[in-house]
Amino acid sequence: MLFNSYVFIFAFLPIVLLGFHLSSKYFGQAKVLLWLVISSLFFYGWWNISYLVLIILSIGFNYIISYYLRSNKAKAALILGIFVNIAMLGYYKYANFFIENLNYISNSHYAIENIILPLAISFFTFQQITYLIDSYKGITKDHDFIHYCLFVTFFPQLIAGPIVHHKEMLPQFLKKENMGLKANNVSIGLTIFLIGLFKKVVIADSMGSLATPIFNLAEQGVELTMLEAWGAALAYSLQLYFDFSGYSDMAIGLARMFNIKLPVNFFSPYKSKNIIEFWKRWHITLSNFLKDYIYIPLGGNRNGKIKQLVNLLITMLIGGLWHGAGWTFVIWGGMHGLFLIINHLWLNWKGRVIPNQYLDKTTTKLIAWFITILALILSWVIFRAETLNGAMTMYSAMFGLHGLSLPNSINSLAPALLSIFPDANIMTNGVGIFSEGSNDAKIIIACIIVLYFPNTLEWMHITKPALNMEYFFKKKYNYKLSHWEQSVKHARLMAIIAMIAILSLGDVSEFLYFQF
Amino acid sequence: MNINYLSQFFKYFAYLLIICIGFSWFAIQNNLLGFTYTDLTNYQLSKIENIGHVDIAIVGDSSAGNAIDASLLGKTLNKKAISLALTGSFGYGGSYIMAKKAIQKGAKEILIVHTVDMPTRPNHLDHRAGVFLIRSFSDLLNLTEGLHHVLGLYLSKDIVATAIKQTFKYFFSSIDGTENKRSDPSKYDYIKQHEKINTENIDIKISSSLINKDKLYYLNKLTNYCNDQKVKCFYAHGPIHQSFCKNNSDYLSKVSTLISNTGISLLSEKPYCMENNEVGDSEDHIHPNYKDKSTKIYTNLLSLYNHSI
Repeated sequence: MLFNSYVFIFAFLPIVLLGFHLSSKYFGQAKVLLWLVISSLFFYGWWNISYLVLIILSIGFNYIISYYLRSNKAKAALILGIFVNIAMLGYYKYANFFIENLNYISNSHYAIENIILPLAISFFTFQQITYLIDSYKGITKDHDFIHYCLFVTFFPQLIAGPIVHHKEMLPQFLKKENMGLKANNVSIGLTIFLIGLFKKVVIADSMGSLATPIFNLAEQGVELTMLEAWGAALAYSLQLYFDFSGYSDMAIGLARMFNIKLPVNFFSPYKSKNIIEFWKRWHITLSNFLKDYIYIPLGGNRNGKIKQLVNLLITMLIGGLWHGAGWTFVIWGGMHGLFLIINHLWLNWKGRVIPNQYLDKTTTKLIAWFITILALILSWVIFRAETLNGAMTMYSAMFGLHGLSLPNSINSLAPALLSIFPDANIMTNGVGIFSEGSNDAKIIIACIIVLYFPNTLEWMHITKPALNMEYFFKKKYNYKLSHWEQSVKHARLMAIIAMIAILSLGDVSEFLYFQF
Repeated sequence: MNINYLSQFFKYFAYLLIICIGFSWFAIQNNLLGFTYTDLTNYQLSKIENIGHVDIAIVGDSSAGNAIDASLLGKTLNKKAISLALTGSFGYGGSYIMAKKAIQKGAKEILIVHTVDMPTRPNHLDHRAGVFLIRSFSDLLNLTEGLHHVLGLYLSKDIVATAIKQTFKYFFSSIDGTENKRSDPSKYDYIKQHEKINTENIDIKISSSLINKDKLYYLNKLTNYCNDQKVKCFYAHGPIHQSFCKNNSDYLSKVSTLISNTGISLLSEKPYCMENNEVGDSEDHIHPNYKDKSTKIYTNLLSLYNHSI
């Protein structure tokens, strides 16, 4: 079931909220949590009921192992637990990829049935591995099976994160004060949810409709012009941004309606001025997981600079593979590993290259931001491409190998450009998504929202909308735009936003992060 | 705590909801949305509701209604055949519902005919148009699809925007549903054709990048339903101007593969490619003078397929 579907908004959510409130009023806490578990499993099973068994078995297995680990601290049990989780993930997510590559290398013809990737398997597997490791370390407490089930399956974060930590979630589920609907939390949650829904169905989907046809053409090997390719790459970068940002808001908003705060997972990543900062703002909970459970166990920065950089690269390659079983994702991870290495080296060298008095200048920051966003847009191309050939077609067009095409409004510049660059391949007709003024306007508006508007969590900051926001609010919040308040004016504004979003629900599309 | 915020939100949201649904409802009731299919839909629905028994049903869009004369096809095959063709606006969703109705009346064979660009069209249109076909609870399919049918019609941004515009026009510049007057389905099984188009400069090219795989949702459902009911279901492309056949072999091959992958029996990968003189009021409508000829072609395709298995 998708958050952006009629059935979720008009049937599932109202029923679950009502059940939550009534069970809180008439039954004990245990029944309330049981209701949430049943609702979450129903939510998961709606997609494909056969995989409900898989998630239940996975939860049961991990619960037993963690229970055993708490009392016995047996390393063998920990290894078994991690192995089974990784094996399950490997089978469902990577088996086809592995066989394809084996066949390619050994010229063999091994075949397995086409395995359908169970929804959210990467998320609930990582979450449970964390729990196993922490149980071994003695950090987890004894929890009821239902509590553990809810920690894994809580529907607002089950499908596409954030990857939550038991320390953050279980105490909240167990708080007696968190039972029953609270008008304050429903207001806050509903507002955040609706902003997220608007981002997804109004902005992200319209960006997708600009990017998808061009990427499809690239997959077919059609030669694109430079502006077409850049337009599509930019549109996809914006689609992914609003899709993931929208999903993260919706997850935080939904959880808040049930009096639960989720950790911040997305915080204006395209405002970052370097790649290190980007990864502190994009899919924050995944970054934390990779840092805590891969980068640091590999040695982190403890064994010298070179080892640190190698560890970074390995971590990002694994991060890339986590996103999908394909070489495009591995290369994307490798690109980000390389970006991070360059960024770390630059931190060491920049004092020698740029005089101190220029480091904090606006122009320097602008250049840093520009280089960062350029690197990100280039990396999203391979992330989006279905094949390496498709990505190469896009890159060759982006680097001008198939000519530059000018919008009609400025095609009078063509003769002047040709007089300067006589060998340039300049066309004056057809510039893909830039050929229509409305598309230009859509992209420009989306860019303005990304770069100049406060994000949802900033706008809602007085309500403390998410966990772990301290990092982002070290400086005083100083946006000129007003912040959210429980006023009639804002209630009416949200009603309009809700209506626009509902009117755009007809053409349902999945969240991009669902596939991971 | 501020309950006032929530009550204000829900109050204004309810106002907006009523306004939007109100405009859509008014525009639909008064046929202001340019839907040309109201009479045709009612005619086809009453046809299947009132028929006693049927052997073979032709479902699909206007390319089917224009190309196949059901009585001639039935006579040739010595079977009782009816056409339940609608228009392209109903997509595969419309064909699914009509095929279900025919199967419930005993049809053992279903021929689905859609214009060749159908897989490139947006899939939400299937949900929306489907609401016109709902006559009973069994037509509602399931909760998700039912909600899509109803809400997708009354609460879709383009429907609401057109409804508001047309309603104002209706009151201030007196428009009516003139398009609908063209329809006389009792004679044709389709909306009466306009004048023949000029075929001199027709040159249709379509990129396979435009294929929308989600569009096949209802075709998949239809195939599954046919299999469950042990009914033979066949698919054929509607007729199309010859320039399409020349220019789009890649598109045709990809679309045919996708359609075959649903499990339905595709009668031919190649559509019937019309000469200039055979084209009617659009590139995918055969001229009424050639309807018997095209009916024979589809009849032969069916016979050949049945003999080959």
